[in-house]
Amino acid sequence: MMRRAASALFGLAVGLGLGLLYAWMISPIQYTDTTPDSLRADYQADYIQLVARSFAIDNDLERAHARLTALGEAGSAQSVTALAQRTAASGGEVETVRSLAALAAALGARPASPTPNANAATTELPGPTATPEPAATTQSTVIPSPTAAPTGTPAPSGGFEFVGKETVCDPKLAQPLIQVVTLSRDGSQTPGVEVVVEWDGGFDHFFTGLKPELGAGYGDFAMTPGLIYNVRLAADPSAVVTGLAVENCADNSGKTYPGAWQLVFREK
Amino acid sequence: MSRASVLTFVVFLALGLAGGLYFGWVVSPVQYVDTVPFSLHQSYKDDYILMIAAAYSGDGDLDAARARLTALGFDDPGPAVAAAAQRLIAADQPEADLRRLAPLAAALDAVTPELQPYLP
Repeated sequence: MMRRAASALFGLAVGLGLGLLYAWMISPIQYTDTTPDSLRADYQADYIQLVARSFAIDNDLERAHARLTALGEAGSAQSVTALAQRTAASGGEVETVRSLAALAAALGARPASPTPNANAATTELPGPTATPEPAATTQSTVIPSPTAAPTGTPAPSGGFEFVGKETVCDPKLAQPLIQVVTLSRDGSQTPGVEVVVEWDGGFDHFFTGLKPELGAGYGDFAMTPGLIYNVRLAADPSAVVTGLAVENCADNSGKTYPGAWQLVFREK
Repeated sequence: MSRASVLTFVVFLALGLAGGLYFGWVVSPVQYVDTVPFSLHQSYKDDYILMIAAAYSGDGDLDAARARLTALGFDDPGPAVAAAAQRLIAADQPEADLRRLAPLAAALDAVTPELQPYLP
């Protein structure tokens, strides 16, 4: 009896081992008809860039959304925004950043639909300027509604003109900012516009539309107290604002805190 | 070893084998999470090619288009673009898509007679 039990156990173990060897090593399940959500991260990023480039050409938001949905969570609007920010920070092609920003802005303005992505948890990745979000009430006083749907033609054909600037006093801002809003001729916000910030001994650049939750044409830059900044649009050097320095605001008790400059540019 | 023991061994070997295969193929199959575009389903490959063609129509960068097509597993991308175009024609896809595919096929020397009408 003991011998038969030992044989049974031995047979089972050998059979199980052989079965697993065959199933995992010799003939594993072949995935030849995969979906984009299984792509390696760098290929997913390339896929998103292609979706954005296509969107810039065909202006078909539903199609872009369907393509991104195939990526699962990696295709969320936040992921597109994060990719745009990473691409901009790493000095990627301007056209790519522009198209990603336009797509992110368009997805942000898109009505929510019950897709698997709509409720997906997303990871906030650090952008080129990790700045605090200005209060919505501050935004609404000057900036046209972010729900003004951006188009898929992000590259403005003409130049820009400087419309105006004002100080934004918001105690919630942890640091002084230069906030830039770019508008199209019809007044809707325009994403993907490159903004150059220069100061004595340095310069930097950023793109509008990489924080679509604050507006499709919104972008900002953290100021350093004591420096004087000039701000211009890369697409139109004539659209320039000079001599910006940190402006202090005061609350009701007289306590001061750094404010922000808000600059608005409009397409000619 | 008695005959009964051998029989028991063989029976349980078969049971173990079946159990191993079931576990390896059904319960816990090999997971592919970092795949390459080459493994995509044909419909996704065609859409990928279409997006590459759209990007090419915007920037005219043939080298970039060729590199992306190579990542899809096409060492000779021209015929692959032409074949994708044929499938899209057969599937009655929008003419605008074919008008983006045709120039890419032409740039890759792979224009078929069916694609001729969609060339600029």
